[in-house]
This record gives sequence, structure tokens and C-alpha cells, in this order.
Amino acid sequence: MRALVQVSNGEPANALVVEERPDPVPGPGQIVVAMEIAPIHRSDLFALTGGSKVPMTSLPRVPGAEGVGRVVAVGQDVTRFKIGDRVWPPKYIGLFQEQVICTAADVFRAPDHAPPDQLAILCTMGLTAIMVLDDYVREAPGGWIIHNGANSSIGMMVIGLAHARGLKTVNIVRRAGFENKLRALGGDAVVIDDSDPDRLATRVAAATGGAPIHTALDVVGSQSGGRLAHCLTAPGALVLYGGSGGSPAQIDFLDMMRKELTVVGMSMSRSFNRRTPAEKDDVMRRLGELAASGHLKTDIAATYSLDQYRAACEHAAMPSRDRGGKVLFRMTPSRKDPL
Amino acid sequence: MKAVHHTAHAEIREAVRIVDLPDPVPGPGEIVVRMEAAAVHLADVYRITGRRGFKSDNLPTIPGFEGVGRVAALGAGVTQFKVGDRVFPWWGAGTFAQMIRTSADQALPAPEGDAQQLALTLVNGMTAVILLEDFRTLSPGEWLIQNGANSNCGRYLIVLAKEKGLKTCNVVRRREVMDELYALGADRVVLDDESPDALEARVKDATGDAKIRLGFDMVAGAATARIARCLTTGGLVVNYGFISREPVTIHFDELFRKDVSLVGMSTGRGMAKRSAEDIRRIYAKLSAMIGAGQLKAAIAAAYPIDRAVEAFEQAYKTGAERDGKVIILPNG
Repeated sequence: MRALVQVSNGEPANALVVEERPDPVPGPGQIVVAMEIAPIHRSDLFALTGGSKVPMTSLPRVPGAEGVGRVVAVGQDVTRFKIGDRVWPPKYIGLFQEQVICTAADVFRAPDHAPPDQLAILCTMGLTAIMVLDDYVREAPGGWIIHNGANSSIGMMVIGLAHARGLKTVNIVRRAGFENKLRALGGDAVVIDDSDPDRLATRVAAATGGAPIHTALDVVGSQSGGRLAHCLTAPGALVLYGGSGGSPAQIDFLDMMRKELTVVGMSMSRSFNRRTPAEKDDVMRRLGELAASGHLKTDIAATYSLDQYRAACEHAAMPSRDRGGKVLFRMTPSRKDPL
Repeated sequence: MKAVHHTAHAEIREAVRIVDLPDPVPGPGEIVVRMEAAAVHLADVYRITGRRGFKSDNLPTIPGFEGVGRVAALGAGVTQFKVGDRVFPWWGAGTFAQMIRTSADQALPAPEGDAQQLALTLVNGMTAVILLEDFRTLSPGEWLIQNGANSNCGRYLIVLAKEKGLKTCNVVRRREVMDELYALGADRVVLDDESPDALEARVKDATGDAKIRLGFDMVAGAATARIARCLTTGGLVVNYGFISREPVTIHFDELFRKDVSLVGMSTGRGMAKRSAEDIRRIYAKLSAMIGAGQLKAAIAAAYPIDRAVEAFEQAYKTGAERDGKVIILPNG
């Protein structure tokens, strides 16, 4: 089997090689997953340069944070899976290879009837988005929530998930041109934030007919979340679940006070690890179903083979507005859509 | 009688003037109070200058959230007070005047003692009580941390927390106030030189690496984040002021990695959650402690009403430039 291997830190063209390796053989409690598809995230590219936010082993290493595949070999004592099952292997174990060996207990069943390119990106962004809604959004169906980064991949997942549970969304974007797209995902109001908090609150009130909003989901940080808080009705909650803005969250004192604001941060690992094994299975099962039903749908820019890693990494490194969606590696031909 | 008239939202000198008005006459259920002392809060100055979010709706008006005075005249049907009783007019009675007309039902009895100290009971006292009661229940012996510990609310918190058996780690910006806070009963006082690493190390050292679950922030800006930094996993920062006049700031590390959360606080809302009897009980206790000198403010200066503009200008300053609370003595 072939693996994409990082042999040094640097530009993808120099840091990576494709290696032929022996097919792995599962030990007790292990399975071997033949990878179908795995996305190239910014964090993967960042790790190639030698910096990393994720647990990283020493070089050489196989990159690849997440993806989806099928069980091709089952070790002793494994009853959870059988050969042919589509599964999500554990994250951050090096998934840019054709076959990967996994601890069966850390693997989750993925549905056969959902597109694998959509399934492949659910273990990071999708899981974060569904747990933000599960753990931090208390609104009943028909209630409103507001969130920023609405046109980001994860923001669009929030729209689909919120829509699936009957919530209405105020979707904050920084420029025009997303209305149709976000509405097609089930978004209700699409509002442009030009950095003026009062103007944003006026626009939001106009878009919702003045409906009270008590929960804001902030994937940006910086002053962006503070402006969301300005649009809330007391008691308000500002939930940070990402920090693409890079700087600390800043909130006006008057909004802290008047909105009875609670500011919390959602950590995916904390939220996931406090779930029981059955609850973990359930959240992954629901994610799979939402991908199958089309509620979770991310733009796919292109799919590359492992051999095309230079072009793939170059494409993945493009700014999001030029990239056209997620860039993925396809390791094995899909049954429905042979290459 | 003389009163401060707030006529426009403008710089302090343009916003207020001292006027002569007829002495007020109490209507049914009202009393007239001859004011002894009125506290000047930063929020009074923000209202006068018309800072965003603090504007007064109806101008001209007599400003002044709180103070203490003696009943000078009784309206029809008033039986709970007699002339000469010391009272606190209710919040927002417009206390920067020699005589004020106010509801007898809402006024609270005030004890004997230093009028300048008692003038600070309603706002800072209630804020300190709500901060200690409403956010996180700590066990006796547990630590809490606060910045602005040298503020009046901070000083009240030191004493009221100690009464509950809690230990206070008090963050200040000036070395020269440390002894005063120790004298009030502060367990530890640490200096904040705006370095988060240095503050965290000093707090660990001062508290014996205690797991601190509750922090009070009245400074805002980067100071909020520094308090969050000193908390243990799952800790809570309660923001209740913004003397830095900067946005409340918190870092991802605290929110995501340490599961620290941040909440806003409003004294008015804390009071709205309480029954009238509870509020009277809290004020009876606070005013008794203040009257007896157990809760003690640092008074920077007391001005006669003719010099109210100077009082407001000093109250607008912070730190060493103000150095305590500013009081107006309407009747000298």
C-alpha cells in the first residue's frame, strides 16, 4: 500500500514523498481501514512546515487528520466491525495513506448511503458544529440563534444543523454575495457585518422582525463576537468555538452588563470526551445521517490522488475565497464514482 | 436651596451648573431630605458627559445616585419616619442637592455614623453583596481573586468575603495601597504590572498554588484576561466594571483549554431578583457595618456643592490621580 510521508519540515513539494509500505496486519482489538477520502486542512499544511497545534510524532510521519474508509481486516476480539463496514478512523493517526491500522474501540461506524467526500470532513468541523448545538444551544424549534463566519465551512455546517432542528439562524458575513447560497442551506437571515456594532444590531433586528436572540456562536473571536453579543437580548450567551480571528475575544462592557452575558469556550475534545461511548456513537451516527440527508453539505473544490500531492497541497493552501471549497485526497476509487 | 443642574450632555464644565431652586415641598407619601453627603460615582460622571449607554433621558435633571441625609419635612400619610431621622433616599433620587423630595416608602433608615462613609452604601455595598452571593458558591477557606482591589467595592469585598470565611487575593496596580488593604483584612495583595506571566506567578506564589475558582474584574481590557489566567480549570470571571474604558478581553487559551467562563453583572438586575424584604435586610446589614466602621471607604476629597464641578472632574480620574471616593457635601 502507498503512504504519503513527511520526511522533513518545509514546503510540501520538498517535505513529502509517496512511499510503498507493507499492508498492515491487525493485532488483537485492531482493524485495518482502507482509506477512501481524507481532506487537507490548513492545520495539515501548517504541520508540514514544522509547526503544529495537534499532537505530532517525530519524522518521518504520515500526515492526515481525518477521513473516512472501509474495514479491510479485522483483528482478534473485534466484534464492533466487520470487513466492508464504512468507518471513521480516529483522528490524527496519519490518514494520508491507503491503509491504516486503528484501535477498533476508537473507530466509529459511518453510513454507506452518504457521499464519502462529505463524510470525510465530519470528524473535526462537523463534530464541533453538532456538539456546539447539542451542548450550548437551548433554543426550542422556531427560536433564533446568531453566528458569524456563516460562509466558512464550519459556519455552513452550523446552518444545516440548526435548520435540521428547526432553529432560525441569523448568518453574519463580511461581504455581499452569500445570500442565496446560505439560504439554500436553510439559513434564514443573512446580514453583513461592516464592523459597526450598532449598525449590525439594527440590521439584525430588521432581518428578524425584532425577535429576541439569546445565543451567539462565535467562530471568529476578536471584536466579531463582541458585535454578536451586541445583538443579543438578555440573558445572552456568547459561545466561542473557534478563533479564526486570531486575537482575543473583546466585548463591550455595556453588553457584558446589559445582556447578562455569559462567555464560554467550546473545546471539541472536552465536549466529546465527556460523552459516554453510547453518546459518542450517537453523535457520530446523527452526523452521518445529516450528511446523508443533505443537511450537512460542504463545497468540495477538488479531489486528488496521493501522487498528486504537490498540486493538492498548492490548491489547499489557496485563500478560502479562491479555493472553491475543501480539497481532498482520494485513496481508493469510490464504488459509485470510479476515477 | 442649591442643587446641581445637569442641562446638557457635554464636557463636565459645560454640562452642569449650580442653581438656586425653591425648597421642595413633600406631597402625600413623600419626605423631604436635607442631604448630608452624596457619593460621586464614575457612572454619575458618565451620565453627565453623555457617554454612550449612560445618557440621561430627561434634561435638565438633578443628578446623583445616592447619599444620606435627614428628614426635614413629612408629607401627608407618612408614618414610618419623623423629622430628624437619618435616611438613604432610594437609588437615583438626584442627591446632588441640598434638599430632595423623595418617596417615603422607598427611603431606607440609615444609622448614625460618618455621613461620608454612609453615602456609599447603596451602590458599592449592594454590588459587593451580589458579587459574593450570585455567581459561585465557594467553601470557607477557598480563595477568590479580584482586581481593582483598592476600589471601594474591592475594599468592601475584602471585608465581606472574610466574613464568609473566604480568602482574598487582591490585585492592585500601586504598591503604596498594599498596606491599607492588608489592614482591611486582605489575605494577599499582589502587584499587577500588566504582565500576565508575572501576575500568574505572583498569585501562585501568594496563594500557595491554590485552585482559584472565582475572579472579579472591574478593570476590563487586558486586565480581565489576566484574572482569567490566574483561575483554575472551570473557573469563572465576573466582570462588573470597566475603569480601563476598554472592551472586556479574554483569550482562547482560558476559554478552550481551561474551560474558564466570563459573565457580566448588573447590580440592578441582581436587586430585581431579590424581594423588597431581602434588599432591606441587606441594606440594614451593610449600613450597620459602614456606620460602625467595619466597611470603610477611602475618601479622596469632599466638596461643597458650589464646587461640584471639581468633584466630578476628580471622580472622572482613576488610580493615584483620584485616590479614593469623591463626596459632595450639599449643605457644607
